[in-house]
Amino acid sequence: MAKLLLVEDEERAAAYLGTGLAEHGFVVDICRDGEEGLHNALEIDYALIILDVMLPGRDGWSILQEIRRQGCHTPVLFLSARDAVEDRVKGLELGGDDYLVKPFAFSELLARVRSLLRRTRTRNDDLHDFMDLSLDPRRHRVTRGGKPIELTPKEFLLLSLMLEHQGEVLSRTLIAEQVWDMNFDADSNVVDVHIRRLRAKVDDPFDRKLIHTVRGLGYVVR
Amino acid sequence: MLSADRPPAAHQGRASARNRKPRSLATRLTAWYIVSSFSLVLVSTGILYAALLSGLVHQDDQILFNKMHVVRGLVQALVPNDANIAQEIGEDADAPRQTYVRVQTRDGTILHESPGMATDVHRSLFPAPYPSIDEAQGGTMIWMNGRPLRVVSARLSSRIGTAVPPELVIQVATDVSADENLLAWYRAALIAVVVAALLICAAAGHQIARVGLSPLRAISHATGKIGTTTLSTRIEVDGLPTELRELALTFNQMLNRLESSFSRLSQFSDDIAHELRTPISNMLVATEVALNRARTVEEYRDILESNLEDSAQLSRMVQSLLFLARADNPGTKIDREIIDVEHELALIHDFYEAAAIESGLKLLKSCDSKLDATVDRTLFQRAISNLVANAIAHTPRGGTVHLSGRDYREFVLVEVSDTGDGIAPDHLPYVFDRFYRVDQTRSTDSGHVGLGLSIVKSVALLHGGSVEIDSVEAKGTCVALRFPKMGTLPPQLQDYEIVNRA
Repeated sequence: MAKLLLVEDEERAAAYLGTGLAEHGFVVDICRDGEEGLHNALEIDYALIILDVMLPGRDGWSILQEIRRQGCHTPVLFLSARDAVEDRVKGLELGGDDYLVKPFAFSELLARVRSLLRRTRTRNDDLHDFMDLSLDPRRHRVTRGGKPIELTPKEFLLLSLMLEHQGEVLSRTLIAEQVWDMNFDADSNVVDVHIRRLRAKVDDPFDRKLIHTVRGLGYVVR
Repeated sequence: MLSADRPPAAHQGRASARNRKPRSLATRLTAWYIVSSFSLVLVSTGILYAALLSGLVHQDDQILFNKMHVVRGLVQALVPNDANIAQEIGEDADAPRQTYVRVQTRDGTILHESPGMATDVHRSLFPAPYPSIDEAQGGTMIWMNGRPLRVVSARLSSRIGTAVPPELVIQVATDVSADENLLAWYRAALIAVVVAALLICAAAGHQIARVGLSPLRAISHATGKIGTTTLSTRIEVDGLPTELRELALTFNQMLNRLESSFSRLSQFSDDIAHELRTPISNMLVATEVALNRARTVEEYRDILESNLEDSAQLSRMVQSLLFLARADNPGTKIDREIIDVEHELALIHDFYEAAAIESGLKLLKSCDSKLDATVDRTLFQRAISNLVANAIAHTPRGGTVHLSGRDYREFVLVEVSDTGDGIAPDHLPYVFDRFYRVDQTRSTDSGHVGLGLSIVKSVALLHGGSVEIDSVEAKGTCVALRFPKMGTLPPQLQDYEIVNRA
């Protein structure tokens, strides 16, 4: 179970982010000011640190600089209300690992947290199977209940993304980014169309549906 | 205004000299007028005085010389007649303008002398005599007993043409009190004239400056009254002097621009408020109704999901607005990288192809190979995607949307054309305006709030490029985006493009 540090001064935001992360199986320590955050970050071995940029006491940039200076390489995810290119670049140059601009969807934060944690772990090939659905990344073949399913390359990529993240809700933005390399908040309806076409091949001929819509959030294989 | 800004320390010395108390233009004009016209009066009175003075001196000298010539004639007569001489030298001794004559030998023996001259004009007061009467240059002013006199003396021979050196000295003096009185009176008159001139000049100068500057005051008065609610006020140009007409015209043009930006800004705020109102009011009502009584878990979930959709829409809108606001800031930097245009267009094509097929459309793509562009990749994707999404949404079944990339002189030209509904000519100039929607009645259900094309335009301008739209109703629309290939375009041309295509 991964232990996270959340440094966020805004009370409501800290509370709901903490609850949300805890409900998704993380242990979360919450600090409400910069000095306390820095202290915890250096004292405790976290899997990931989530830093708000604007903090009382000491800002996020300075916390990151200090912990990197002290030789701590814990991944850092920045949260910020500012999204000028310079700010993003600064965050990444100082050694931050990702940068999320408020307002953001919780599912987006969750996906990025998981992605940062996964970076340090080796990829699990077993995750390409789910129930009677099987995806072979090496031979580019998909079968369900032993019957082969013909997919386009992008559909294949989409399905394999969802299988790698089985049980996790994937936002439309994340899907567009991972499958089509569309790095902006893309037209969400277009992702729906792709999912619909994938379902037609993977789910429609079968009684047990694998791809589910989570309203307002995205899609999940479960 | 300037003095309120504290200048940097290095320039403080110079700046303090510039920060002298400003004098009014009227004061300056008045001062210059007074100085120039008063100098004129002063110079002309001076010249008049000098002319009068020299005239009087000349006249006095004539009197002196005449006298000397007459006396010489009498002295040098073949038969000198002392009675004649005495009459001659005594005749003016009692006149109002007394003239005295004295003839003496070189050793000082007086031969002839006007009556009273011994006491009135002492002989020691005369300057050294001229060698002869003909060589006499002019008289000298002396004062005797408080009386101004003009005097001259010269050597004189008692025989005509004799080789003997002249043995006599003639001294002539004339009373110039009348001249002095005239001059004194004249000086007083001139001083009075000069003082009067000074006063008149000051008054006239002030008046001229006041009247001359009155149009300026009128302009200042008119502009002073312009506020946010009276931006339509203009300065009356008719009747203004040429120099100020230019100023007033420039000012009016500035007001035109201000008024139009201001009205666009307030229209923009109205639109934002309007667009925000719908999702916020949905959330408010849904939440209020939900809390009215206890509900099942499914009902709560449904309400939360609906709230989530509304907040997501709000969030997208805020992000778009922030993007547009930042793009307006001339200092905004973009994160350029070199992209392969063909590859990027292929990604966008793949992303939208499914949606196009579902709408019964063909999405075609063509691109010059090995076409590089130096752009912010995310912004590039965003702009092209907006155009493709728009084209798909406005093209009826059976139509075609064509996405193309071309090498076009110093630009990378990306075109999105469709065989769709087209846009009416009266809407066309406004489609890039924020919140402008051709179909005003269309709801925001689809999440489109009329910012898409504004964003496309901002992206193009941020890159120093341009966007053009061409549309024929019921035939289709073509939007062309130009991105300058960096390094091949001189900076001044980039500016030119930004200014002229914006």
